Amino acid sequence: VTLHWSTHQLTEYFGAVSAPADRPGAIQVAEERAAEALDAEVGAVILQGRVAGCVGLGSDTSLEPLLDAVTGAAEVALAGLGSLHAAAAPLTRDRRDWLVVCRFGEPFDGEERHMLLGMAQVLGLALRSLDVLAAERALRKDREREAEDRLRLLETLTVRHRLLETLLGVQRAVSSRQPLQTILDAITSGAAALLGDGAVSLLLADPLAPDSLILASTSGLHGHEDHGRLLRAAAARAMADEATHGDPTADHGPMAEGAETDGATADGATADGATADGATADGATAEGAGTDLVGAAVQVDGRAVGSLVSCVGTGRHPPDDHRERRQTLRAFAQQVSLALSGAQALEAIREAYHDPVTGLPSRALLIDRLERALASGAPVNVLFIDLDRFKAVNDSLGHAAGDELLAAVAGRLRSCLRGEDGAARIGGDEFAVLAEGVSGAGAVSIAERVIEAVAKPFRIFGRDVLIGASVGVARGRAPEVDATTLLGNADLAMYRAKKAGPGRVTVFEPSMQEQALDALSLSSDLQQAIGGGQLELNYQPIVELAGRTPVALEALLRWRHPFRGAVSPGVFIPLAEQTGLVLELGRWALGEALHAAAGWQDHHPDLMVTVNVSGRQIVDPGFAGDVDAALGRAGLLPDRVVLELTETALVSDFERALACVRNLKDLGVRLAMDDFGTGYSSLSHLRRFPVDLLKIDGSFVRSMAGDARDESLVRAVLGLGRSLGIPTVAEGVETADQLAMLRSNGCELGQGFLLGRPMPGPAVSRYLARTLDLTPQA
Amino acid sequence: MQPSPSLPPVAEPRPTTATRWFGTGHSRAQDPYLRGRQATQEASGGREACLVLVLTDAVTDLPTLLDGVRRAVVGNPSIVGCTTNGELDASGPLHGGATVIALGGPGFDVRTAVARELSVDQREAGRQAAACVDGLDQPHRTVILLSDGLAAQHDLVRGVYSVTGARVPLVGGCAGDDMAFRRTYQFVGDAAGVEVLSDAVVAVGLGSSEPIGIGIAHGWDKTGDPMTITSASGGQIYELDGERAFDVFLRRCDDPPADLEDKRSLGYWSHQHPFGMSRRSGEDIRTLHDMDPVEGSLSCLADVQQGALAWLMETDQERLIDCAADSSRQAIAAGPAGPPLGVLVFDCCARMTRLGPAGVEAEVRGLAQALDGVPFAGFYTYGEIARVHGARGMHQMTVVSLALW
Repeated sequence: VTLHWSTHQLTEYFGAVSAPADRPGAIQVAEERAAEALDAEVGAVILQGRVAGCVGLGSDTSLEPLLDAVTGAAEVALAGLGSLHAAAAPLTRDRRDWLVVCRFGEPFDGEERHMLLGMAQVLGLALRSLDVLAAERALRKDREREAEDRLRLLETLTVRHRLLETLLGVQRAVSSRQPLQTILDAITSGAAALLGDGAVSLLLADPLAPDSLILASTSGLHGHEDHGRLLRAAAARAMADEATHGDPTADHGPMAEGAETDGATADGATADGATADGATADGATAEGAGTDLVGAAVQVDGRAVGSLVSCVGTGRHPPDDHRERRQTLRAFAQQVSLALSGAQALEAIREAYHDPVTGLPSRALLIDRLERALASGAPVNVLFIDLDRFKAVNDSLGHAAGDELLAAVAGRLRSCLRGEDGAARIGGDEFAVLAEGVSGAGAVSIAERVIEAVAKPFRIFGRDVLIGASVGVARGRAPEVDATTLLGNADLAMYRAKKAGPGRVTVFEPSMQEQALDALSLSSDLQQAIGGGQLELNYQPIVELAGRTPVALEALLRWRHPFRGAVSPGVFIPLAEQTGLVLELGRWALGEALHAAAGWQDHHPDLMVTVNVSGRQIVDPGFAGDVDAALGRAGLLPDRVVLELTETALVSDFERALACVRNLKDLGVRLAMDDFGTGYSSLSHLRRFPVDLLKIDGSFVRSMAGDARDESLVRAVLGLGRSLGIPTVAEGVETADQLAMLRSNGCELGQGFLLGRPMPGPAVSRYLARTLDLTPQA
Repeated sequence: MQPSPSLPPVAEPRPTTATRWFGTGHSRAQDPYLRGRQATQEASGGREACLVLVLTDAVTDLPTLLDGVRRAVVGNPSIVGCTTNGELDASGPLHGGATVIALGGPGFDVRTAVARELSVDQREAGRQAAACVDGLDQPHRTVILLSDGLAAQHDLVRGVYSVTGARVPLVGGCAGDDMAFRRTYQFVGDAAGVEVLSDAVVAVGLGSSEPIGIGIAHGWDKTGDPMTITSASGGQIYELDGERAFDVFLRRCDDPPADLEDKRSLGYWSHQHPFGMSRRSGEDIRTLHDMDPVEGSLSCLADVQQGALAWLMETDQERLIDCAADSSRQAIAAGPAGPPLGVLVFDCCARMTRLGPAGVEAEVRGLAQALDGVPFAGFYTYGEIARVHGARGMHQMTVVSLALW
C-alpha cells in the first residue's frame, strides 16, 4: 500500500479540528489547517451561505468572492491578491456548509480535492459534536438534566475521542505498510466497534469485473442469514448514489456529494422496503426482522470502487443517531478511500483476489463466490483439481515454464467450463471450479472434461509437455456445509483420487472425513511409536540368482501399534512423509540397520545392508552427516551400506538431492535406484546420479510372464544396467518361472518371497548361517 | 502675552545619502557599552538608518549594550533585536560578541509592534504583532518576526497570518540563549530608549520600494518507515505507534546516545536527530531539543499534531553545509537581476550542533562565496519563520534568507 502525503493528513486534521471546545475555535483551526495542508494561501469555512471564517485574506479584503468557489468556480478573484485556484467541499450532504481553499500556482488535483472532501466531512462531524454539546449545555442551564442526557453528553465526547483513536489505529496499519487485508480489517473492526452494535462490512468491486462486488472484510455479526445479498445491494446503491449525484474529484468545480432530497432514503440503502432497489426490500421484511443498512461509498481516483456498509436492526436507534452513524461511516469510508488511493493499492486488491499468473480468481474470491452460491439455498458443487507431474516440469524446465504451463492450464479450464462455472487457482498447482445448477453426475462429467483437457500435450517454450489432473468433487448446500468446508471436502476427495492413480475423479464421501481424522490420530500415534519401542526392522535378503547366496539384506520398517496391531508401511510411510516425521523415522531406521549390519560383519564381512531413504531425507542438508555419524557409531565400513532412493524422491528437488548424493558418495556409501521403471526411468537421471545398483520394480517382474511389454521393459532395464556397468536387482521374484526368465535374460541379482522373506533381526544370523555357511565361500 | 517663538530644533550636521544601503558590524569589545557602539558604528558607517537589528548573547548586560547602540545611531531608527545561539557574517561564525545589521536610504519604511506574554496566547500575540504592517503602503512588504525562542510555536505565525494574509510574506527567527534553553530576550525601541523583553515577540513591518526575496532550504530527507504520533500535546510527544516515544525513537536510530543519564549529551544527541512530517510540498521538520528517558517523551520546540506521521530524517554533511548558500541563492533568485543590498540569514541552532565547528565554518564560507561580496549577517535560532506560499510559516532545521534590494 503506497503512502500518499494526503493519506495521513486526514487523521492529523481530524485531531486538530476535534480539539477546540467551541465552534469558532474549530472553524478557525479547520480553515488554517486545510490551507496549510494543501499549501493554499487561503482557507475558509462557509456556513449557510456566509463566510464564517477565513485565513489568508488579511482583515481588509472582501470575502464575497469566496462564495463563487461554492458555486463551482475553479478560480476566484480576490482583492489585492488577484486570481487564485479554488476548491470547495461540502461539510454535509445538504451542501449548505463548505470548506474552501484557494491558492496561487498549481490548480488542485484529484487527490487534493479528495482530501479536502475528507477534511470537510470530519469538520462536519466535529461541528455536529460541538452542536450537541452546546445544546446539552444550554439545556443544563434551564433545568437539571436527566440522567440519560448526561449520559449522551458523555457519549458524544467519548465517541469523538474513540473515533480519533480508531482512525489513528487505521493510520498505523497504513503507515506500517501492513498487508491490505489487515488494513481493511482494521477499518471494518474499527467502524464496528465505534458504532457499537451490528456489523460493518467492506465491499469492493472486483477490479476485473467491476459489476461484481467482493466482500473484502466484515466485522461484527450480521443478524440475517441473507446478509450477503442485502449487503451487496446496499453497497451497490451507495456507489450508484455517489456516481449519479456527485463526483468529488471532478477537475473543475466544487466537491459534490449526493444531493439529498429525502430523509428516508438518506442512508444509502434501507433493507426494509424504502429503497428503489427491489433486491434490498424483500429479504429482510420477509423475515419480519427489519435491518437498517447504511452505506457509504469508497472512492479511488474519483471512481466509486466499493462501499462500507453498516447493518443494524431496524428501530434500534433514533433517527438522529442514525444520521450520526452514517456520518461516522462516511469518515471511515474516507479513510478507506485514502488507504486505497494510488494504483498500487488497486493492484494489491487485484492481486488479493486474482492470481497474477493465470488471471483466475484467488482462493479468497472463490470462497466469497462459494458463500454467495450457498446463500441461495441450492446445492453447490466444487471441483478440486490437482495437476499431476507439474512439479517435475517446474523443476526441470524452470519456474517461467511452470508459470506458462499454469496459465495454459487455466485457459483449458476456462474452455471446458460453462460460462457460469467459476474456476479459481487455489495455490501451487491446485485449481478449483464452482459448478452451480448441475447435478452431482453433471459435476463429475465436468471433472472428466477437465481431466481430458489437461491430459492433452501442452506446448511450453517450444516443447511438448505432458501432465495430468486428479479431481475431487464435493457437493453440499447451506446450512449443512459452509464454503470452507465444502472446498475442504473437495480437497479431501482429490487427495483420494490422486492416491488411486493419476487422472481420476473421486466424489467426496463422509467416510473420507473419518479416514482423514483417522490418519490424523495415526500420525500422532506414530510420533509416540518412534520413542515407544513399537517400531522394528525386518530384513529381506537380496541374493545372487546363480547360487542363491545372499549379498545384502534390505532393512524394512515395521510398526506394531498397541491397539491396531501391525500397521502397513504403505499406510504409515506416506503419513510420515506428509508430516515430516519421516526424518526422525529414517534416522532411527538407519541407526538400527547399521548397528545390526555391524553384528553380521564378524562372520560375513562382505555382506551389505540396504536402507531406504525418503525424498525428504535426501534433500535434508544434514542427512550425509547423519549417515556419517551412524557409520561411526556402528563401526561399519561405508561400502557395506547401500542407500536406496526412489527416482521420484530425487527429482522433487533435483539440485539439492544431487548435492546430497555427492556428499554421500564422498563418504563412500553405495546408492541404489529403487523401483526403477515406475517413475521417469530417465537415462539422464542415471547419468547424473552416481548409482551403484538398479532395482527393477516388482510389478514388472510379476506381470512379466503374461505381458510381453513388461518382459521387454525388464529386458531393456537389464540391458541398460549392463551397458552402464550397473548391477541390477529384480524385485518381487515370487515364482520359479519368473526366476528362470530373469536368469535367461542375464539378471544377476534378485529379491522376493521365492528368494527369502523378510525376517526379524534375531532371525538373520540363523538365516545367514544356514545359507552362507552351506555355500562354499569364494 | 506674546507667545514665545518656538525655536526650530538644532540640526546636527550628519552625512546624508541618497542611496539605499545595508551594513553589518561586529564587535567583541569586553565592555558591553563599547561593544554595542562599535558594532553599530561599523554597520551604519555614519549613515542614517531606518532599522538597526542587534544580535548578541543572553549573558551580556543587555541594557548597557543597547545604550551603546543608541548612542551610535544616526537619526532615530527603530532598534530591534534579540539574543541568539551565535551569529554569522561574512567573516565567519561569531560567538560572544554583538552583531548589528543596519539599513537605510530612500524607499524604506519601518514600523514595529510588540506583543508580550507570548506563552499565554500565541495566536493573540501574533495578531498584535501583525499591527506592524498597518499603514505600510510600499509596493513590497514583509514582516520580520523576532520571537522568544522557548515559547514560539506555529500558532504565533498563524496569528500573524490571520491578520496580514497572503499579501505579506513573513520571515524571522526565534531568539536563542546559547543553547541553554533557559531564557531568551527580545529588544525593541529607538534612539530614545530600548526595552529588553522576554516571552515576547517583536515584529518589524518593512516596506520597500524595491523587491524583497525570501529563500528557504533544509536539505533533509525522510528515511525508513513512518511512525504515527499516537499521543502528543503541544511540543511534547509521548507515544509513537502506541509505545513510549523515547523507546521507539531510540530503537529507530542506529547511533543511540552513549549515556542516557547525561542530560547534556542526551540533549546534544537529540538536536542531531530531527524528524519530519509529510506535507504536500515536502517535509515539515521538527528538531528535538530534549528527551526524557524516565517519562519516555520527546520534546520539540514547535507543536506536533497527534495523529501525524513522523519519519526519521537523514542528510549528509555536504548537503547541510550547502543549505545556507542554497537558501540565499533562492532569496536572490526571487528578486530582480543584479545583486541585492544585503541578505539577512536565520539559521537553525540544531544545524550548528550537527555541523560541528568545521562544518559551520564551511557553511558560512559557502554563503560568502554564493553572495559574492553582498553583505550579509544573521543568527542561529531556536526556530525559523518563513511564509511565502501557502499558509505554513514555522520551520526547524532550516535556513531562511531575506534579500533586500
